[in-house]
Amino acid sequence: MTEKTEVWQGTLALMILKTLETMGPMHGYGIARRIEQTSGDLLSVNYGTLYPALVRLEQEGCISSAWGVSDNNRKAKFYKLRAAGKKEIEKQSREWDQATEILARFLAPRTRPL
Amino acid sequence: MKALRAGLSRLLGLIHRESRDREFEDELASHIDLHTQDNLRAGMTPEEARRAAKVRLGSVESIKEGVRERQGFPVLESLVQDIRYALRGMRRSPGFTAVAVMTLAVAIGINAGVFTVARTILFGGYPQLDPDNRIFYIPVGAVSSAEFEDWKAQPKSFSGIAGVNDGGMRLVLQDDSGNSEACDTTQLTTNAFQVLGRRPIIGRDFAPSDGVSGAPTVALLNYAFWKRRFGEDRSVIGKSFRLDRKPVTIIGVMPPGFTFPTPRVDVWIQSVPDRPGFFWFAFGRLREGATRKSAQAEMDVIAHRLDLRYPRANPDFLRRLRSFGEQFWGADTMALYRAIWGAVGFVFLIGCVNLANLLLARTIDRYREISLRMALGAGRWRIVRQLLVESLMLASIAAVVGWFIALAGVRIYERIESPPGYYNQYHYVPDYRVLLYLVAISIFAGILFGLAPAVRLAKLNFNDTLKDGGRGATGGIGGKRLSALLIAAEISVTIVLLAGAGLMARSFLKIYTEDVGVNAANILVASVRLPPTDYPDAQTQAAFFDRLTTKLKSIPGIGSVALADTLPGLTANGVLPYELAGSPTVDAARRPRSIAITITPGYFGTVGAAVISGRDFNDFDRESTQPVALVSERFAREQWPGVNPLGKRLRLFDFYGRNADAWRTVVGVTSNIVQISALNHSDGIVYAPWRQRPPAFPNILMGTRVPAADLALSVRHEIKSIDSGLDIGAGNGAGAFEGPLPLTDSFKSVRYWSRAVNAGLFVTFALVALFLAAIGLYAVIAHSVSRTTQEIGTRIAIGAMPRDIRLLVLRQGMLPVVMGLGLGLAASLAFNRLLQSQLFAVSFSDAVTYVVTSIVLIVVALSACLIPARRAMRIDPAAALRHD
Repeated sequence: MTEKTEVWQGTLALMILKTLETMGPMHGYGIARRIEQTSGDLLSVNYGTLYPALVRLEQEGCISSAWGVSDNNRKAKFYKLRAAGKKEIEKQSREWDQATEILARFLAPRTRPL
Repeated sequence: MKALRAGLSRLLGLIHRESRDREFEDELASHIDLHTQDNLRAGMTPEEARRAAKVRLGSVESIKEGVRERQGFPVLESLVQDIRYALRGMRRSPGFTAVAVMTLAVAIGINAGVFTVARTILFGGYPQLDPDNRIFYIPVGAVSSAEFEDWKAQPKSFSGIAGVNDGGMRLVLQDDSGNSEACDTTQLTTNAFQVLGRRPIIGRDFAPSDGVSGAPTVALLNYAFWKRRFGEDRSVIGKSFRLDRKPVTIIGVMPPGFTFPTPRVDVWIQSVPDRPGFFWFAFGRLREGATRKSAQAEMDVIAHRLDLRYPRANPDFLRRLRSFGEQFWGADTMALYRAIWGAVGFVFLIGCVNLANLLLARTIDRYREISLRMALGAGRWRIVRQLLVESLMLASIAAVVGWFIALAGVRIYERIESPPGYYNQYHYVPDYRVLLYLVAISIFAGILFGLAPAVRLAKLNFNDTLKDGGRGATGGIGGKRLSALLIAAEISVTIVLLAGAGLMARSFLKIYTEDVGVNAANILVASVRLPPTDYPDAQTQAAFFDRLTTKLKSIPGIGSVALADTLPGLTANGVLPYELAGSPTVDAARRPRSIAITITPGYFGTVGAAVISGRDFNDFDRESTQPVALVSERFAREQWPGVNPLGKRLRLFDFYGRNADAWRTVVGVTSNIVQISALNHSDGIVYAPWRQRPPAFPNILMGTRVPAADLALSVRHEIKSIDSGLDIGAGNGAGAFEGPLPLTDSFKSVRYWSRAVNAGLFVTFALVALFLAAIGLYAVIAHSVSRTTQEIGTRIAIGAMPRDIRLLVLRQGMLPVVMGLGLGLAASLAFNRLLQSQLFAVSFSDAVTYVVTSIVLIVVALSACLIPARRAMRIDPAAALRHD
């Protein structure tokens, strides 16, 4: 069994937003499950960070929340992506692409010997 | 934008925190529920499924904590908690709270009150007219109109320069039907109101054409005078009156409350260049961008240029810029207020030290509680913050109470500042600056002295304290040392104040008991100003006074009548340059000055002084005879030590040292009379006879055989019977009172009043300081006794005598007192030096004062310690050992 990694600092918000973008409105537990699944169970979501992150995103206006009923008829609080959230995804993905690209240059195997 | 939005929503979160908490609990419950469902689906048993879900979720409390931190402002919330906690603490110990708040409130209130007054005098501009302090005043003196105009046009630093010829002339305003009223008249240049930025509410301002030579006199009225004299009748505008029997047209009324340059002006008239050029002062408003420094530099240059063209006696004239305080209050008064401000600064320090000591005592009482909180995980910073919040809250309450103390104090001061019947100089209003000052010093007190206990806490080892039952010596010793230090500081500050007050009081007593050299008790004073239109020359004036003197002498009860241009024992009007025959000639600006008084024969008999050698003036000393003079014994001793002054010759000059009077031969030496003058307190006096030296201002002095006040009405009647249009005053330099008035009244208001008020202020502040210090000392010692009840009980149990216990307690209290006393006496010598200019016949290092005040302090300190000491002596050892 591979060791699970905690979600990296600063990436959780983007993952939440992206999850909501692809899956539509979801509750907290569902979001966590989805992130873990998407990562191929390589990531473990710490709820102690997930919920405060949700609160923050809601305060910033990226998502909204409302109580609703889950697939299996359970009461749950659902989070939904808002327009500001979509913009935030674009912005953050761009930043990520850039960051990974830069990092990739450092990590890329040297083509020429020194 | 995002952050702003988040901040707003967090603020909202503060409001319904509880419902949010509940909602999040629901969300977590639903989370567990959903997870459990999943686990069930995965084939777990119900218990297993639920347990696994809970385990996976982790600590519910820490998740909640994380969310809560995001939702509100945790710092703010815990602050609210701290405040609530502090309030609860205050309610629990009302005695402590009351003492802490009241001592600090008194200290803050007195400071804010004094600041209100001192600010006006030290830093303020002319009340209401000049809030930004942009108007500066320039002494002018005697200049020709040409020079004034020349000078006035030059400075670029001012948007305009205006001049005041004269303030407080008492002229008689008369209407067509002969009704007359004395009014205070000020003469100023036509642009004066423009420079001040005030316009008449009805009628018109002076126009430049009013200021040309030969223009008819026009007048603007003070609103209050208009209301009083004319009942706000608008039809007076444009009407002609007679002012000192010369025609004048009223052209307008100034706005209510406006007065310049003295608090009491009824009528303003314009100055015209054909008048002999004398200006009291000029004033100008600084132009945008100019500073006092730049303006002063410019004035120096201009004055230098003018000096070449117009030689001048006083180098300050037309040059030295003065602030409002420097112009209208004078350097001495400003120094006094600086000293008072400093004094109440010390009172403030004492209040602060008291607060620190009380908080320290309270913190020691709460060691157990604090240790417990720390053991339970409260950080040191959290505890310190709690203590700070408490002291800041005490300071805030004290600030509110202090504000009202300040208001009341300023009102009281306004009442007593001037003698009864005098116009109050200026209104002191505690404005926003005072409020800021109050808030600033309150926060300063709260933070700095709230930190005293925090310093102690830094060393607190909560394990020991808890083991110790939160009682014992661990925290005690260091705390005692700190509070002993604070007491010493408090006492040293108190002694500085007490000694200063002692000096002021002693100085006042010296002045009050001083032998002025006159018998003021039976002297009645009246003064009349003879309008030049009706009494154009010396002959007509002399004729009037001859007639008056004869009439007054016929009043039963009046023994003698004399005239003098200065009242005996009061402010000297003429302090003039003089020259002794045979002495080397000196530069005009450097001639010595002496008080010069013009009198009629019989003056010394009337005021209760005497001619001690030679002869008095008599009726044969006239214009046509040899010019003579009398000198006071002091003048003779200083100028001709060891030589017979009779037959010596001297001459006086006018104020500016330009025109010399005749050479006079000294024909007699008189006993000393102490006049108030700008020179020294013990000045010599030169007297000249009335007929040979026409006086500027006649005062009529009457020696009475009955209480002087009883004759006032009949004297008034006699004067009016000669000329009903005359305005009768109470003497030059005795204030704007209706005469006649006993000389003792003027003594009270002119000689003693302000000195008594000043000494009274110092004494009041020193007593407040002493009281606060005594409370502080008492609180510390009483607290220490109650902390060490067990120890004392043990001592008594093993045989200590009551007096040993008393000694123990007294030593604890008096040791820092004695230390503080020594330190304070040394500091007094340094600080009270600043008072020297206010002291009369007392040195700032006066030993008697220091000994007496030290004794007072020690007695008070001993009493403050004895009360707890007696309680300690009566401790019952059996009960004490059980004491917790």
